[in-house]
Amino acid sequence: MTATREVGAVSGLDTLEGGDHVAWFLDRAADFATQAGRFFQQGMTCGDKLLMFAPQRCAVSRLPIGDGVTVFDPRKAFLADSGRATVRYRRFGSVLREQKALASTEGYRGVRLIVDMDWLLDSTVTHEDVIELELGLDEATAAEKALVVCAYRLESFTAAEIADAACVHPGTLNDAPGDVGFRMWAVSSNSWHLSGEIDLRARSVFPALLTSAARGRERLRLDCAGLDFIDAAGTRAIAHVACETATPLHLEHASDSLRSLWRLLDLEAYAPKVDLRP
Amino acid sequence: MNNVTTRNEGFRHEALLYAGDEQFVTATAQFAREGLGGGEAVLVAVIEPRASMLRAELAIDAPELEFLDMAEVGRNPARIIPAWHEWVERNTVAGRAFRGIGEPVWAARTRTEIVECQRHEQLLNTAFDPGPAWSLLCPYDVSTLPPDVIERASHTHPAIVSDGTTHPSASYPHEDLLAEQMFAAPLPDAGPALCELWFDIDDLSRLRAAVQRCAPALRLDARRVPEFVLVVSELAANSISYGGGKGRLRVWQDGSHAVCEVQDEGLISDPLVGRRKPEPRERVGGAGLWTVNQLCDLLLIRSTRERGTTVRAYMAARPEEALRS
Repeated sequence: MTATREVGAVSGLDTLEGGDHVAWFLDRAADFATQAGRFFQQGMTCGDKLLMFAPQRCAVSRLPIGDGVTVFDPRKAFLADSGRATVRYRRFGSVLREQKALASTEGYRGVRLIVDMDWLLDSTVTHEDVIELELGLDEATAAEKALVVCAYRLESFTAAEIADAACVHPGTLNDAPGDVGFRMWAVSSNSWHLSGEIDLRARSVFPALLTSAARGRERLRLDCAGLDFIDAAGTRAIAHVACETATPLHLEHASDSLRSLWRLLDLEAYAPKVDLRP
Repeated sequence: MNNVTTRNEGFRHEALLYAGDEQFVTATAQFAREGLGGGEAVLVAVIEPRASMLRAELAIDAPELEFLDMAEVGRNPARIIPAWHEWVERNTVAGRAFRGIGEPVWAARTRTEIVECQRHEQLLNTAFDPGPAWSLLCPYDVSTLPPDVIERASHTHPAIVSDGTTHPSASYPHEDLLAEQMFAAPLPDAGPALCELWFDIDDLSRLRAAVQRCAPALRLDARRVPEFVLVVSELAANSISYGGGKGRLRVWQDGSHAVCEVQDEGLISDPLVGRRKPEPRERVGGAGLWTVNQLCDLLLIRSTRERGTTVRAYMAARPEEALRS
């Protein structure tokens, strides 16, 4: 399953396949409506059900394929009830799963979804909420082999928000200012891949991401095969998350360097629920 | 200047001046036997063959007597205080009295290493004066060490043991080794740079890649290359976090070591920085320089208000003959 997901920079929306979850960074000049329209038209040709999570004001009607798209306004569809935030934000993934199941009964091949992240602008959503939302979406995308594009307009978000958004998507389309250096993406509900480099740039987002992925799980598997570098702070963050969430973490393909750091920092006794394997 | 009687109530730190192996064995065995006879645990951290000689002389196979290879634990002198800390903590928890013998300076040490050993000796009092009572005897071989090194021992030890008598050191604490002077000593000359880069937070990846590209010229064992890269990254991250957000990296080979140096505009004021084992549950700071000290063979820290901070790390390289074979 892991091999089917597009990881890293992608060249265009038309190259995506089922299971891809891409952060699409749009500058001021980008023509969202035209490109999103093409993406949906391609989906229609392929027999995909077309979904959009977008704010009310988003002019879906301006899309060339507007009528064929099922639109959910996140604030009304997912966040209207007053339940716990973590549960509410996981609804993004749940709805994707429900729509995929529905699409199958309706005779569609699959689903493709555009999330217009501008819906965040009118809300009080926190940084942690966005992480929760994106991780939930990523899990659902991997499990359902859906095709999901999260559109972040560069003018709508800070550089730090954009950089953090990139790391919860296995793929990115277009350059974004700054980069936290690593990516975390789902293989299955309890299994994630870590890739890239975890250093000072990731100091706040990596623990937040890992906490969100681990919270409430019976266990979490992290495949570190693609992790080229991790520093002392990142290594300590793994231990802290395991202790805080009480979730056993199984790190596979842990490098010699990571295992050596673990020993040097005396984390074995502190975080016995973390299992590091080469 | 110094009141040994008062200090004896807490941490007692004495330099033992001896000449040759026989005197070493006689004096250290007596010190160890006094401790063992009084029910104290004794840790001996010296190099070979003196460890074996003392072991043979004591001829005691008891859990209260432990040996540490100073050549290994003290290769980087900044790792010695944490080793003593672990010993102090272990015995304090067990409610047992204890003492130690530690010989950080020996004739084969380089001048640069000896300067760091002297810093270590001075810091022992900073680290352990506030703690429980115990005695540490630091042997200095007057027959092989240069006179200035012996003289310096009296600057860093409150008391000197010589010819079987103990007397307070008149030159302790020496002003050169006071906290504000500790990080002001000159650095040895740097070699021609294999790589020199200015960096900020967006350059960390590029920095590591540049060091990786230098690896063949650094002559490090393959397993140590990632460690060297980690050292560079941790030092650079410290500059970014505490040294004004940016810094300059230089990397070179000095014939026997791969060397990296990071300069920034920050000021380090904690003399024990990098020598305290970070508490695993601690979230903020403290692990970078500790990690660097554990990985490299020598770490020089210089920091003044006028010149900012320079941290230089040495990692032993393969001899050139090994490369040809």
